[in-house]
Amino acid sequence: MKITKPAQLRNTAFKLRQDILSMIYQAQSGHPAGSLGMIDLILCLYATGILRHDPQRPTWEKRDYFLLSNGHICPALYAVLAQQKYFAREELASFRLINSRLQGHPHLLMAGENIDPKTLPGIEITAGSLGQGGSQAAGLAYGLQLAERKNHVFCLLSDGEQQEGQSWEAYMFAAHYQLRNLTFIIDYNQIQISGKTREILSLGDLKLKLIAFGLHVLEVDAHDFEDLQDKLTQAKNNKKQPVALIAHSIPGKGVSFMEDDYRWHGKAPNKREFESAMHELRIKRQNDHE
Amino acid sequence: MSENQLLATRDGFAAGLVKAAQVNPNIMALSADLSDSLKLADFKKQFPSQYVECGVAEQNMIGVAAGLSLLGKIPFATSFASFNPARNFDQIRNIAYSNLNLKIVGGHAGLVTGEDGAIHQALEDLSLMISLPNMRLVSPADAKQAKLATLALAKDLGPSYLRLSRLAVADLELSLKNLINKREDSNKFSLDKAQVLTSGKDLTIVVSGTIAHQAVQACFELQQLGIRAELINLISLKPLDLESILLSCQKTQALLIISEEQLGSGFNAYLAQQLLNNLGEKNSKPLLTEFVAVNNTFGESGTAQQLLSKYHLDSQAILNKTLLLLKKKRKLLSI
Repeated sequence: MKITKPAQLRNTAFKLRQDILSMIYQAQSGHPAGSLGMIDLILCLYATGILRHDPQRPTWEKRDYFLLSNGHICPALYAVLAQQKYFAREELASFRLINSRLQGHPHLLMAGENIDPKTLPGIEITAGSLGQGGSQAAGLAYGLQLAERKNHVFCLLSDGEQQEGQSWEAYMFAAHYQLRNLTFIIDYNQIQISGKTREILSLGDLKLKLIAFGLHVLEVDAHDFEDLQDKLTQAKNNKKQPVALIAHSIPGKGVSFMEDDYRWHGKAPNKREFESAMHELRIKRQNDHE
Repeated sequence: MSENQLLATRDGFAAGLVKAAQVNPNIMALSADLSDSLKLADFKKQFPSQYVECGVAEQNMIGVAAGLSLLGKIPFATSFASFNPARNFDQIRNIAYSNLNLKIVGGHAGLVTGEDGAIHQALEDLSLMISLPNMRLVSPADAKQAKLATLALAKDLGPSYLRLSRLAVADLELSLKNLINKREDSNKFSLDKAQVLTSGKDLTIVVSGTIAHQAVQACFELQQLGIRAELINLISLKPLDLESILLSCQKTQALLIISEEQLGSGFNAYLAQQLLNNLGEKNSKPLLTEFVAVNNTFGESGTAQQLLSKYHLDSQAILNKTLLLLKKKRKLLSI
């Protein structure tokens, strides 16, 4: 289901924000801030065709890969996968419940050579222990490049995740082997679970550090669909070196009382908060439409 | 490999990996800057595009291996056991959870790493790995077993841990030749079945890895004293062939468990739990046990033999523990 017009994408994103909040509210746990902050970017990847994929064939060998390394924002990925019809939207209601395929952090389970049916279609890796997705993306990109295959690998990481040394091991590896089919996207929302990133452990000049590690750095406004389409496409088409796309986002985007507030990193809204957030999103969507 | 040559299990692994790659282009070797220590020179030369140097970054190496596994490759991620799985356990836990088809190879395991000192003498690797669901644990006793194990793991689907040592040892089958109770089928190799090396009625000895050679030596000395030990070598620690062990214990009612790791964790604790669980089952007789393992201490620099002696894992220590165990058995049976 291809959507490319910014207005339509914005409209869809409002609905997906409501899905995210419903999931977290029903489960009474989860991570709203990062999920709301990254929903535009993930939707843009899947809906515009920048990410080559086919919901009917989740393991299609010509697909591009989207690896979510900061697994805690999986409500955003689940919402997009449901919107893209990887599975029925009703299943979103099982988020974090016992026996669900929608785990609190996504999992990929293998059963021999096949994917175990307890895996949600569209999930590429197990995530939730920060720092690991970048390396898995690098391994995938290495293998694809070795086989001279055309698939591109996108990997989304959080800014707090840059505090994990392993993230930088992955960048070093990607640059050393000149993985031209790899884009690291860093959600630079400037918060993490206990506070502002610059107060917990400053990343310093992130852009300069990434450049120094041998990556081609792009920056994007993670809530501007034109800019997103432009930069994600640029990242995919850059065939010179691995790319780091710094995505400047607002955590909690769309819900005024959650925006830029680290306390919403990993907390579910109560009934009043939920209703107020859903109302705000509804109004914003209507206004945006007019 | 000639039969009377001393070789380390790492040599057998490297030879096995080359052989596996000759028939399967999906086999890949990943190194964290220790390719010489893991004897990967031949592999690198013969299969340059199937070799990935990851540098001194063991955490990233496992992620890279996971990514390759997702494409249908069969990566063997190699380093010293003290870093792989100890440093990158979180990453390995992730791939075990996903049940990915990739192999962790931990070299320089155990006290016999020797002169490099305690920091490189992994005694916790089995403990870490045995705790993981889906993870297969393999610990060969000589180069020949290591080669066969590597070939078997290359065909096995799923995550596994191959424990290797740098100590050069004789062919295990060859060192059994002085034992009068050696079994005909002692050299039968299988990842699923324990190797019952000798038949004996006095006690059962369960051992795994290159320390099996110390156990064989102890069995020879016990033979001089008229004591017949049933020696069981485990190539696969998990899944465990408990049945063969129980069958032997029915007969001997005395079990000595030898493992080159910390006492009270890892394989020895795992086996003890399985045995306790079986107590009271039909046909189960009272069973006395003793353990040979490193007792809550780190190693130090020294030769392999000096370390095994000082930390009570050599054939003398095995002999002493056996005599203690048999004393307990006599007491039990006389009541």
